[in-house]
Amino acid sequence: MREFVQFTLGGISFGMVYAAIALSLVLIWRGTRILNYSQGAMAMLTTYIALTVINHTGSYWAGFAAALAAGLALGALAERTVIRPVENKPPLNAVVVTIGMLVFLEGLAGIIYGGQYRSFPAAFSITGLHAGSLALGISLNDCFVAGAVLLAALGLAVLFRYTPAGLRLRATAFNAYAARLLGVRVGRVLTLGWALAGLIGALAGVLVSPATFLYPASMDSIFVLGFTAAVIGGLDSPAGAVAGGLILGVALNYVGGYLGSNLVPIFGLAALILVLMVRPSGLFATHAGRRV
Amino acid sequence: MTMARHAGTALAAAVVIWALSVWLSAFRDYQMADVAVYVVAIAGLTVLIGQSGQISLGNGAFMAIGAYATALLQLHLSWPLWALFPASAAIAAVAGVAVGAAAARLRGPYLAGATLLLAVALPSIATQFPGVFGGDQGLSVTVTTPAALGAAFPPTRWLAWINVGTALIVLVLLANLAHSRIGRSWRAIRDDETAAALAGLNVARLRILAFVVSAACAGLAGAMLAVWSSQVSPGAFTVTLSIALLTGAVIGGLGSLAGALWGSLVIVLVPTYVTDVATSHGLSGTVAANIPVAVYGVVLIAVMLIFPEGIQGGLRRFWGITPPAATTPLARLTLRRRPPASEHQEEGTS
Amino acid sequence: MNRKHRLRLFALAAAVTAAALVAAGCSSSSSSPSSGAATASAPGITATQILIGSHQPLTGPAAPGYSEIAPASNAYFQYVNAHGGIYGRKIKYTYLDDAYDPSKTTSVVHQLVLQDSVYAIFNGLGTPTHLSVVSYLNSSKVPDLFVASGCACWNNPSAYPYTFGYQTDYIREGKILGSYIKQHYAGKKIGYFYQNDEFGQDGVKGLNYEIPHSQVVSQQSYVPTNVNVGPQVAALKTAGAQVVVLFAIPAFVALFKLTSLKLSYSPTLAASNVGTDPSTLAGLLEAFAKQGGATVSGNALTQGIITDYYLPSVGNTGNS
Repeated sequence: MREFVQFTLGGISFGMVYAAIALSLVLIWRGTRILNYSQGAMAMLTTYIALTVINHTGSYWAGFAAALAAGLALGALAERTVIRPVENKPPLNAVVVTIGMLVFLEGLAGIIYGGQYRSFPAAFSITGLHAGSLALGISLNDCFVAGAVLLAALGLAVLFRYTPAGLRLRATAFNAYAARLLGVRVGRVLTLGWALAGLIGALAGVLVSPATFLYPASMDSIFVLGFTAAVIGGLDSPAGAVAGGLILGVALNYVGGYLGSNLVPIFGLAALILVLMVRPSGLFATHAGRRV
Repeated sequence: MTMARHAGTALAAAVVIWALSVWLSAFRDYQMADVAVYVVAIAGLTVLIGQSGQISLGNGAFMAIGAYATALLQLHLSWPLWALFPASAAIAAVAGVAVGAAAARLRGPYLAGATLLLAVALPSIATQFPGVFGGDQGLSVTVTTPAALGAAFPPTRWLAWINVGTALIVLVLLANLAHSRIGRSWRAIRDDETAAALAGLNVARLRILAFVVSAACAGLAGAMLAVWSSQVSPGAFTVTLSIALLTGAVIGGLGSLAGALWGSLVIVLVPTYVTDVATSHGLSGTVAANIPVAVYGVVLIAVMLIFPEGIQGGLRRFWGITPPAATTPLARLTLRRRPPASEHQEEGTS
Repeated sequence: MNRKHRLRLFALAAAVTAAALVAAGCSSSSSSPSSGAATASAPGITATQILIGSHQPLTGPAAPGYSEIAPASNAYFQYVNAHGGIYGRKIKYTYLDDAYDPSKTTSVVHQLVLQDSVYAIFNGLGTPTHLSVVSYLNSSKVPDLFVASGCACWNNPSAYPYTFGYQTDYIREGKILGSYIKQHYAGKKIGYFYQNDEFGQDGVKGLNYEIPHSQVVSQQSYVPTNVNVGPQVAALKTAGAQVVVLFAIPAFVALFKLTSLKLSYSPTLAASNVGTDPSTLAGLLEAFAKQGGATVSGNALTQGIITDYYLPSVGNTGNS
């Protein structure tokens, strides 16, 4: 029983990171109908930037802020230069372009920073917390991770619902033609969407890197599971993305704990196929997929 | 007549390549065998993407299936080479039926993502059953040069002959397939699925068939890879391989079999060339090894944005040649304007 | 066949020939470094240079942790060259990236042997990667020295007379660690944490030769592709293991330590050679000494780990 609780709590930490990646993928999908395969690689690069800032200034929070700012900038830059030309083309073009970005960013990181492991600091203490004499099996940093992602998700929800920019984002996602006719600068809105996605991805990167160490390919497996979480939760649903991430993180922790670490990717694949077969638009989608 | 033309082209190419294999060095022969592996795999993938419009990021997994099939059949049943190749293709084709059926309802990014996950997850199966698959170290495959060629015959030339010969046969078969009724049906569902269904085509069955063909090609390529590298282990079949296949297909020219050749040449020759250039300029080994990776990414993006028809498309323009009716108008696949976002509310699966 | 088709055929043939010519041209130009008149009796050796080659994972998921080995060897070779070389010849060390992919290993090793004509392959890294080239190197009679892998398979003079490993194999390491633990921790509960491949499995085999089976309460494995080792550490804690033996790469030794801190679990750790280079481990853990409100410190985390580390550490001048 204690093991079960342990597995559940442990799964939440990674699950929140998957949720963050899933959230950024959903943001981009809703706006531009593109799946950004380089989301993890962008997060890796912004985390390297954070590390450079931390090493120069000695302050973790300066690095944290730098990562978020870099995420905004990188997302916007990617959309304006490389994604804009493929936004209205068949899906294959966007797949190839985002994969190209993924490969390029990993090579770039290898050239600038080298291929070896870098140690990335955690925001708060990583020693286990205690309730009296009972060891809880989570640390203060884990609580920070969960809190930061939830705060980001809530912030996005507030942005979408209560701000004019959010209204424009929703309008463009729903019907870009009509939005343009109503005076929305669709191009700028899409850039904003990508920038926000870059921000959330960068957050995921700095939150998970203490536990994975930082190297050019460190975000690859995190991205794959974040993508799985997004599809499971529903690519159209931000709430679904967060829920999907949590569910996946905890479920895979059970698999790893009770069945063995090697089976985790196989179960991830099985879960993905199952959801795509049974409920193709995702577990939490607000509308059912078209059935022919 | 078309079949004769294809066979004739292949025969002419065979003569040219035989001459090259004798004239070039042993290392170039080895590279020729390597290129042949990728030609077969990319040809299968380019047919899948270019002719039937489905994106697969998981053909590396089918290559793994073919490679392990070869190793296991040779290890346990001692089958000869000419039986191993078709058997591996057949086994991979069966896997293709399963995957194709599961993926038949998926479209676009959903299909790409699901096949990506397949590529990630499949190597774990090899390490999960180390007794059967040899674990991380994998299994070895032996190829002996036939005694009839003499003791001094370079083994790399024999490898080149086996692999290139197989590749030419596959290219002829695929070219015939593209020209047949099936090829036309694929292009119909690629260009407008609803219209094709209304015209009476069984969309699901055709999509699965395309998957099976591409899986069989990938499985055969995996067998060729096993023979070429004499070792089959999970480390050779990572996601990087699947991405390399996609890269080759796109750079060479989607839907085009000649494009498969150009793409393979690029994949095999360019990275070593770039690394050589980098090291000769004094850059450290690690930096020099990462430059081809970064260049790879830039080339992918550049090709998609500037030359979406790839090398073959560029060559066609250069020679002023209009493509024969059966091969894909590459422009249609990559330059077609998508309907605006509002029609995409339920896109992705069907 | 009409004119257009004939033109296409010609174009294809011309292109293939042109590509081959370019390839042949690249071949002859890049083999020039070692094409000076060979005055010695072996390929790769000239009057002024000895050319050796290697395959290393410089890119890809296996690169972290291994990409620094070849530059380090090269630094030593530069030192030798600066002090007269070997009988007046300078060592040129060409190491090529195989991304830990055995099919790429075959490719680069064929390139080194056939195109660059190296004298020997030095320090080829990785068990599955080197296994894919060992038969080829031996049949081509290329010296294959100091293979960077602890597999017992390199010790095979009848099948592979040209191959020489140098690392203590993992089974022996397991026996060495196991016998120390049996001596000093008799009666305690032991747990294993090992990489789920031949490296870890051979280590466990060796441990089991020495440690009585009744003492082993839990055996947990990990795969390098999954950094979440929480479940395994939790299982070891629940089983009550007081001593944990690790056959893991440095990153996972560090991850084990960090995760056990989170789970408030502090067993005695014993780890094999591969996982315990002191400077690597300290480097992996250093960031955890720098955070705000730090209650953990990098070096303190590595204190107390028992190891059979058998190479001198950087900065240790006892051997100079």
